[in-house]
Amino acid sequence: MVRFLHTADWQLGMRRHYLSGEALPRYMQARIDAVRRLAALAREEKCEFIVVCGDVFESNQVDRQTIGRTFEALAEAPCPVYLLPGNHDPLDAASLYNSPEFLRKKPPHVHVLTSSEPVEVRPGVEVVGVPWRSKKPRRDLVAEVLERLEPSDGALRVGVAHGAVDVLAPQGRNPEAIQRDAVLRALDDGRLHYVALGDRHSATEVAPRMWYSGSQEPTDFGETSGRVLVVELDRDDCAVTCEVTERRVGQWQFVEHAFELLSAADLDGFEEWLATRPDKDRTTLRLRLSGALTLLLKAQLDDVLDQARPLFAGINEIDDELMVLTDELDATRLGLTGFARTTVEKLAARAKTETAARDALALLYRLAGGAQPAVGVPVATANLGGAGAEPAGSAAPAPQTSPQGDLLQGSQDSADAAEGTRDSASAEATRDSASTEATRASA
Amino acid sequence: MRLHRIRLSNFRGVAARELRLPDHGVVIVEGPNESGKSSLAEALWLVFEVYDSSRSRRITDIQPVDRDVGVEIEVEVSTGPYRFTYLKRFLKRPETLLQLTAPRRETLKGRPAHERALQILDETIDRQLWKALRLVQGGPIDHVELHDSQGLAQALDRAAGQETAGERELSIFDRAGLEYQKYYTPTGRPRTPLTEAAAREADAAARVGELEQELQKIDDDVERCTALADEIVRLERDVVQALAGAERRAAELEQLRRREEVLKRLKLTSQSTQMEASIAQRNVAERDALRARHDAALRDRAELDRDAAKRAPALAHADQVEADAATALATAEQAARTTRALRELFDNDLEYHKQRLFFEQLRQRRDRVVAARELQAAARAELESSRIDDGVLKRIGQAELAFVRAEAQLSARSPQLEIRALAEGVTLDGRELEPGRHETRVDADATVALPGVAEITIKPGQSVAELRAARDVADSELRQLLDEFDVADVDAARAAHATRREAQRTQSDCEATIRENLGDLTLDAIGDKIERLRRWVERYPEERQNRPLDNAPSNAPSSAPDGAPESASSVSSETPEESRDWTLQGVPPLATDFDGTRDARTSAKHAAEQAADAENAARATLRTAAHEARVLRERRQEVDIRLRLAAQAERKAAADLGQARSDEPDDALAAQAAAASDRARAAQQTHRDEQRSLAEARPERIREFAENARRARRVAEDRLGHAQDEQRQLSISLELRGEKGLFDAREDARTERVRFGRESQAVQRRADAASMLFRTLRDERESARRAYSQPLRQVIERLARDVFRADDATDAGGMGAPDDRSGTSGTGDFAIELDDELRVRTRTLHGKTLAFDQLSVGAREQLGLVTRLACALLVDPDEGVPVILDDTLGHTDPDRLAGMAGALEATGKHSQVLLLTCSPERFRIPSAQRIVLR
Repeated sequence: MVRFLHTADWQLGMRRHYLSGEALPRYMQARIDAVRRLAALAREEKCEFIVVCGDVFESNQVDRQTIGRTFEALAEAPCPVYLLPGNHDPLDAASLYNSPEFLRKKPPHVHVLTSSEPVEVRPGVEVVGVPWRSKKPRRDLVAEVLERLEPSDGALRVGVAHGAVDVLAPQGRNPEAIQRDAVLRALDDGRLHYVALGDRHSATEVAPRMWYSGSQEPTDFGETSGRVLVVELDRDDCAVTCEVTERRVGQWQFVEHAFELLSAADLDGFEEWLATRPDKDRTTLRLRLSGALTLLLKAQLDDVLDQARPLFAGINEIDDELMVLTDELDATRLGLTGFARTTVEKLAARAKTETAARDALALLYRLAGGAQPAVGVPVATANLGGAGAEPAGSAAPAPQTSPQGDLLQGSQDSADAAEGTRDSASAEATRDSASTEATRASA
Repeated sequence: MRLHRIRLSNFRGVAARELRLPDHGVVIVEGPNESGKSSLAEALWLVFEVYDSSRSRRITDIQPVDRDVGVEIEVEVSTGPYRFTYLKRFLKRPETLLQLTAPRRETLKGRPAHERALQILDETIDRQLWKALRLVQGGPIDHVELHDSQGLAQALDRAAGQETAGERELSIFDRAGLEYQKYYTPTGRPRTPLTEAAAREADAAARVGELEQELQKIDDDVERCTALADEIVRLERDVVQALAGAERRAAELEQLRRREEVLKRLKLTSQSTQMEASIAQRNVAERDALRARHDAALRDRAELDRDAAKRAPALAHADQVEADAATALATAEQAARTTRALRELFDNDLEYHKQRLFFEQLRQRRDRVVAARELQAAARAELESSRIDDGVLKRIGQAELAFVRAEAQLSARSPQLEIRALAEGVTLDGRELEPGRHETRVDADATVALPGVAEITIKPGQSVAELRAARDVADSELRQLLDEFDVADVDAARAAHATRREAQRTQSDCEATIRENLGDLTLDAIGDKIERLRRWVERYPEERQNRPLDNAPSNAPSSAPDGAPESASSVSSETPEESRDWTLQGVPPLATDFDGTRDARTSAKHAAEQAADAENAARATLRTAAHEARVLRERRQEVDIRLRLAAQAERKAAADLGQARSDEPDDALAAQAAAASDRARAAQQTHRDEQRSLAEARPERIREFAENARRARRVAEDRLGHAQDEQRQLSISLELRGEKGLFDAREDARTERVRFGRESQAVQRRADAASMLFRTLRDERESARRAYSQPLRQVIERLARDVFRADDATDAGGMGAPDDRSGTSGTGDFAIELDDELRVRTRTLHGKTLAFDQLSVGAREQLGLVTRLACALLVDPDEGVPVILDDTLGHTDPDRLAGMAGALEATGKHSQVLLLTCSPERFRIPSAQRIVLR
């Protein structure tokens, strides 16, 4: 019987550009803190070793300080730690694993799986790594290793690999995809007894004794991540038994949510939902907003978002589907007459298709001093364009915490997200196609 | 719209007030200041526009000070088909109540009442214009002035935008303009905030790009490393192969080298046998040569003997010719000498004649000088004796003239004394007078004595005495002069002077003659010369005779020393042939004259030249002959030498041949040569065979192959070395670059790019919004103004026409023709033009067009007021809206007020005009009603 910790895709050094300035360093630190926590967990769970299945570092070119911090976090680990070079940190000529910094600082209990020779953890337990030697090997490295691998001589053997599994990425012709069947055959005939996989950020059971652990902290929306697997492997005369327990170590959340907003009530519901989010400062939101709001309600919405923005690590709203209604009521309430009124009508007509016209209307709304207070609609602020801190009216000073309201965040952030991870096809393809990540598939 | 009634409670200072108004016409509302007249206009506005719940400044402002009570406004209004009473109470117990009485009864409360009232207004009047009108009316009537019509467009702008507290004066349009100008300059260029954000994003993007490139380079290098590893394996294999190939080829090359050694030796053998053969051959040839030389020497000697014999007679003949030529030359030389001597002789003769002529001339000159000297001596003697020169003569003449002049004066002044001596004994000055008549001039005391009788003294007087004294002086001076120069009288002096002049002339003539003949010589020198010449001339003929001609065969007979003229002529007539005869005959006679001598000399000169030519010819002939003889002699000497040499050679050849034959006979030599030849041929054949065999093995290819293999090995090794070097360098470089943390740097830059990009887009988006809003507002405003322009113009024209017709006298600006009140139809006579800002630009009255600024102040005010009133009519085209004018200060000039009264009255025909004033007497409007407040 052996018990070990299965984790992967730490991707230390990774960042998310859409996180607001101060959140980004916190997020990066959180990824290392999670490593520290999982080391502590290994102690708690009396694990005999830890396997990290690839992409320990975001790149071979990460700042060398990151290495030191990582080792610092791993100092807590009471057992050997096996690091596997993945597609982000392959064992190529520029490999960080061969850098003087790494070699100098590496604690004795940390090992890099640089070959596919079985490594004995202790008598009766072996680890077989399938390291990446380049970013694009263009072949199934696992199958290659398995072909040459002899059945173990009585020892329990854990395969450590990195990459997409073919059955989970059916659409791509990925030459590097791991052939599941080849792995299953090896599990059958006793060349391996457990296959620990990395690359997919969500914890996933591909097959019995064949798992992705997912990353230790979430990296994107729609992941089931932030956990590690505690694996207990045993064998009696006739069969291998395996027990896998998911344990949460991550503290961040990437939440994606869709809202349809049609009325003030919807808006209230939306505000309520925001208010009840836990751990706001460790939460990044992607809000898909649809429906139709009047100019006034839209202003209210923007205000709600502006209020929420500083509370969260990041809010990223996609409001392409959200219509702004600019009916006559608005113009009347603005108290406009004459050409100002016809201007409103002209802009309103164009606002259905043109963002600029919508913005122009909002600006006009602000310049006109917002709705007449006498109308009775409680308008907290009219700072739609967010250009200035000009008070909207002496009667109702706007409580503005962030003078830079930002309508653009939605579209911009999705672009960032797409470019933020150089996680390329392999990572991409393995994600749950059922989830809302359809947007990301375009990348 | 008609305002029938208005009631206010707790409105500012007014606790309660109600006002009822006629349907149209001017109403002058009279009351002291603070009586609340001006609140009317505000109240009419507030009741419609402000919610009863409002607590805005506009409402709190009207609340009575220190009293917390509700403000109440109630109006009764008819507009279009509607008639209603409208009540609003603000602040305390707010309330809105709308009670419609027409077209049907209807009562509404609260918000719906407010909405309904506005709706009715919207339906029946132009609310925006109404609002604008109200803003325009904000100014008091006495400030209507010139700005009123200008302010309409602005008022419309403000009316279009909602007013906000504190920014009352800024219209939406202005605020949009300010917003626009945050991002764009008035000409539409983007301003700093817009460009800066984009620039910052671009900077970050550029940084990202750079870092991307560096990272890409690392990726490339990593790939290169992988490729290199494969390549090194392949290259190592190549090196092994190349080594094997090179060794094989080297063995082949060694074998070739050995065969080449053998061939080289064969070649040497062949060459040495050939050498021996050729030596034997040469020995034979040398023997043959010896023989031939001997034969040739014999032949040469015989040939030279014959040649020498042939040349002897020609040489003898040449010697003879040379001797003859020498003789001829001697003769010619003698002849030349003789003729030369003759020529010299005649030269001397010619000199002789020249000297003789000179001698004669000199003699004559001497004679002339001697004669002149004698004459000169005579003249000099004469001159020495005579002292009467030009000066003396002149003095004598002058003295004479003075005397004559004194005498004449004396005689002219002296009394004439006539004495008739009647008897003897009468004496005059002691001199006895003969009887008779005597006349005398008395120039001195004259005493007539009649002896015994009387003695009469006549005194001429003082002046006569002086004259006489003067005459006496002149006389004595003349006399003294004559005495001094020793002449009797003046005539004698003149004669003596003439003689002296003659002598002088003679002397100077002689002087000239002497100078002329002497030249620069003295007489003695001439004498010497004459003596020398004489001696030479006399001696010459004799000396000539005695001087022998060179080589002259005999002495020439001497001729007469002075030369007879006959002989001289004969000589001159002689021909050159004849004269040459003298050279044979001796010295020719001396010619008697110069010409003869000259001719003789010319002939002699010709003869001398001919003789010289002949001499030269003879000399040339001799030279030729001598040369020929010398040539022949030299040639004979040469033949002699060659003959000697040939003999020597012949002897030596014979000796050599004999010696050689005794050493080795001819036959033996030939046999040796043949044997050596055979041996050489055999050796050569052997060498050639071997050479051919080697060539068939193609040695150059073997060498080439060997070289290629060696080179291939080197290349393979080099490639391997290079690949290994590159790999090493790349590894080092990658390690170094790995320490730069490029990934993090790139990610940082990306974060910045994203942030700046976001900012830039936000700014751009705001700028776009501002731009779109501003432009749309601008366009809409323009078209709105255009829409107002036409109706406004028409109404202004309609009103103003009445004004200007009704009260022409006040139109101080109507500086055209006086208005023909009765004659004009009116319709075509008045017109205005509005500009884009709805300002009156020009006014045309009676066909005369003036710019607004050119109008009189009064006319401008009237037009301003009319514009305001026109707006009121335009707000409700059917009835107009109440125009409320506030004459708060009452400082307006009465005349101007009178002018405005016309306009007001004209408007009053169409709609309600409320004129609030505290001094109603200022307005003379007959039709106006008056309401007095309190």
